[in-house]
Amino acid sequence: MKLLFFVLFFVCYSKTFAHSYFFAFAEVEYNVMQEKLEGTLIFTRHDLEEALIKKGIISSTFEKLQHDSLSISAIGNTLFNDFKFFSNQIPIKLSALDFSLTKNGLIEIYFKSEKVKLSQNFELQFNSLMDIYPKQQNKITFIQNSEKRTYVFMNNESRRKITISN
Amino acid sequence: MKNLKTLITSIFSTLLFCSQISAQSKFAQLDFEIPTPNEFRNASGGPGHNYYQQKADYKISLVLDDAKQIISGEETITYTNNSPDNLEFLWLQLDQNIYAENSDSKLIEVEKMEDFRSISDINREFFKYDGGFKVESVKSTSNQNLKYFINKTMMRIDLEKSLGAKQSISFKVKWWYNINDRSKVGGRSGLEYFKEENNYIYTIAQFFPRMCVYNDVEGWQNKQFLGSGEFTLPFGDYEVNITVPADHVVGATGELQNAVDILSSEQKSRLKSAATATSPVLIVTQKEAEENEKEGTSKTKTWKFKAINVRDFAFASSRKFMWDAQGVKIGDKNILAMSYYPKEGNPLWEKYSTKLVVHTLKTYSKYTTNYTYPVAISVHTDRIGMEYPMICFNGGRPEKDGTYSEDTKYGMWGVIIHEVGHNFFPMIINSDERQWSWMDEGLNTFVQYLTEQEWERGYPSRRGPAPYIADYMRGDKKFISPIMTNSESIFQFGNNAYGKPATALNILRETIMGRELFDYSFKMYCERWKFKHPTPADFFRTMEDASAVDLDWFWRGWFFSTDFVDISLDEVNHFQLNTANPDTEKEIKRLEKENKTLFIGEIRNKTSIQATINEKDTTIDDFYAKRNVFKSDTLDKLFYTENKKKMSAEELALLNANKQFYELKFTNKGGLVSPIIIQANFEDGTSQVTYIPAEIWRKEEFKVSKVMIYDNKVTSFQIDPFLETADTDVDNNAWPQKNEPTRFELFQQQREKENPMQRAKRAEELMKGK
Ligand SMILES: [Zn+2]
Repeated sequence: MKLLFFVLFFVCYSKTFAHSYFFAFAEVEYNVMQEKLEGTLIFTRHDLEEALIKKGIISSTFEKLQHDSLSISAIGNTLFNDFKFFSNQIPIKLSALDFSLTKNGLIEIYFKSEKVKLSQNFELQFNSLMDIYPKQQNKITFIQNSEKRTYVFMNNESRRKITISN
Repeated sequence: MKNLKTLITSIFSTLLFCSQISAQSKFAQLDFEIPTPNEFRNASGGPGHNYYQQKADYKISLVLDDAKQIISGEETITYTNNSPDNLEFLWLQLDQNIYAENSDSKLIEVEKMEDFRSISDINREFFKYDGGFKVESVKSTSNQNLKYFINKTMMRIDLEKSLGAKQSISFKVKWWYNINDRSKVGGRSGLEYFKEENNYIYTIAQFFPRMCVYNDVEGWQNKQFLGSGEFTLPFGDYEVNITVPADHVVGATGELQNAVDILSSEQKSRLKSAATATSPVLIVTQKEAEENEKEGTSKTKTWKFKAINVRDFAFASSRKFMWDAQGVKIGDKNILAMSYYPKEGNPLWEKYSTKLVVHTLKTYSKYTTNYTYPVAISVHTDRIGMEYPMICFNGGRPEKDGTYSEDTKYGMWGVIIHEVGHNFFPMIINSDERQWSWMDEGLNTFVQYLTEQEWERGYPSRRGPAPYIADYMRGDKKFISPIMTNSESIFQFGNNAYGKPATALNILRETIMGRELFDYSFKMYCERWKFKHPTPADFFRTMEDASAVDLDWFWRGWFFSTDFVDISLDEVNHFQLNTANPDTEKEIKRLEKENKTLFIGEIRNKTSIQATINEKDTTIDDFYAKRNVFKSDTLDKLFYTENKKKMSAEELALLNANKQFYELKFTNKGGLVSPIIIQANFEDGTSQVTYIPAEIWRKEEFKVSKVMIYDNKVTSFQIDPFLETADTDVDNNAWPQKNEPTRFELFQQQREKENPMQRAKRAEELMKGK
């Protein structure tokens, strides 16, 4: 038997939104010169805002948040729990740099990793928002040496191996 | 640069044969994918000569119990069988049973242990709310009990004698149910509770047992309601009496019949002046609403509504409502656009809601078919968006201090346009939502985009423009559903049923058919199927029928497959025409030799070998060695002159025109065939765009080449220069190749230019200078 631990946050769960988005997208490139991952996480602002407010990570809408290091790292720390790269099973540390809001309702969060050499055993876990929205689907386009590869993540398939070219 | 020598046309017959088979699959006419035309639905995409549809008329008496939050009602349904078939039984929908304790919609959710990470997750699992219909009786008009059976969200009434063609039957149903609190269980219909003042806003729909559709396509559409696939309903006439607390204001599908008894004389005169007003007129002002909501009442009032030829009925009721209205004329009909909202909706709602309703009715009428119902209503809710005939419930609530974010504003605008737009799809053009969400959501999202763009120039529409769908469509095709998937089985409902079809229609309009042909055909579909029940095939066929554009490949690619657009410009080769003039050509040859890259040994030998044997010994060089191959001789010139004589003046001019030839090679990487739009940018700074129809892929599905001929030399090529094809990888769209910056790179560029502190400093210096 496994013991069930849970975090205490309150989710006001509404079952039927007539118009839901439930889609996150990441665009990440391996910067060979700096040996760092650099990228952008893109969410429907409304979906993410609602999730983070409910989790108590932010207390107001993104529009009212200061772009200061405190709120940016708070958002980052939460998001990088569910958006994690692994090289040889070891998680790669990511840090959020800033975010911006687009007029058509998206939020883009920019981040960088620590220095890392990509191993052939390179994986991504991308289950952002899947705990709150079971129908959430996430996608990444990974760019390395100008080559692009796209992967899809679902609730039952939220960690995948990412092919690395030599 | 290469010289064009000979044009070789080689046909590898086996190769061509093979590729024809595979390409045929993408360009073959739709066959097994869509049903064969018949007497009910013809081959042009219109209603067939024996098209029929059933009719369901309702007389409903309803009581809204504000103290217990219960709806109880009694209805008489008159059902007319216009089909040629005998019906042994009737099916009704009990949608509210999705909240019954034995509901399937919960059982079919895939769950993992990780879904129970918080106490509230667990609380939700144990949360009990009994929201199902309590059917008290089903009786004939002579009060005989009728036999019925409830299978979850469907109820079958067994008829003693089957209902024959052109026959009608009337029967009565009595029921009640607990209204769901939207903040606890969600839902399209429900209540919102305002705790501080102990008041409710009710936005009520799916509240009565409703007839299922019986037609030539599905027989009875009695697929269970599971939550995603919405409603499939027949048209009919409604008379609905709603008894509510006397201080409530009610908005509903249809026209109010007893304004005389219900409204004050002040309200009646305001309503009358609204009909001809050019901006919204308040029937109930904010001051009046705030006064009204202060204390409740035990008295009741009955509001009577009548609606003709609608497929459903919904209403909103609250003592918190203010109410405004503005008349709008469409065709020869005078329509009242109206909004109901509490003080919590202001300042946004008073300013925008009704104006948005007016604009939406006008724009949709232009692109689809005229709105002919007497009213169109937008009701404020906290955050949902849901549509019913003549009335819809829309989110968009400012903050408590009366300010609002830009996101809230655009969110409210978008949802009102979208939900009012649903009056056209599916309320008037009455498709089967239970089966095909895209037929209402996709078509509606497309016209929503057009309407938003006419509301504000550069409106930041969330869906519609081709580039927005690229992130969703690229990648593993296994996790994408074709648009032609049943509503309940779709991965990514929003992108699939709303975004992708809206994009597809935009591409048809802007790129493949052009606006004129598209708009005519799209409107034709709407005119043919208004107040009827269309299917996907009727839409596909009408669009081709009215335009003479064969779109089978497009429907197959965009609607039946999970392919995406990714056309790659792999290679560009430049050629110039051989002028045949020996002087010119030999000089070109000489220059070519002179400019040829030399092998390193040859370069070094120039200095390391001081003199070769033939340079020292003059007897070595013979005729061949001495001859100047770059100089033309008499015979060359004679041959040229003779040839020239044989050429027409036109051919000669062409020969001397110095045309530039570019051979472009393309790969279809995404599988979805698409037109190729080629922009050539010339040395002199001008450019030229050529549109190559998608049929270029008809015989060769994956690789094609095209020779482009220009007067000027090209410095660069750009494929899909106006981002109109939803190409999922734009990095392979240019020659010379250029990678579009990633979002991160754009962020870096902006950041490196000036950080916020530098910006502040610059501003400070500017101030000092003044
Ligand atoms: Zn919709």
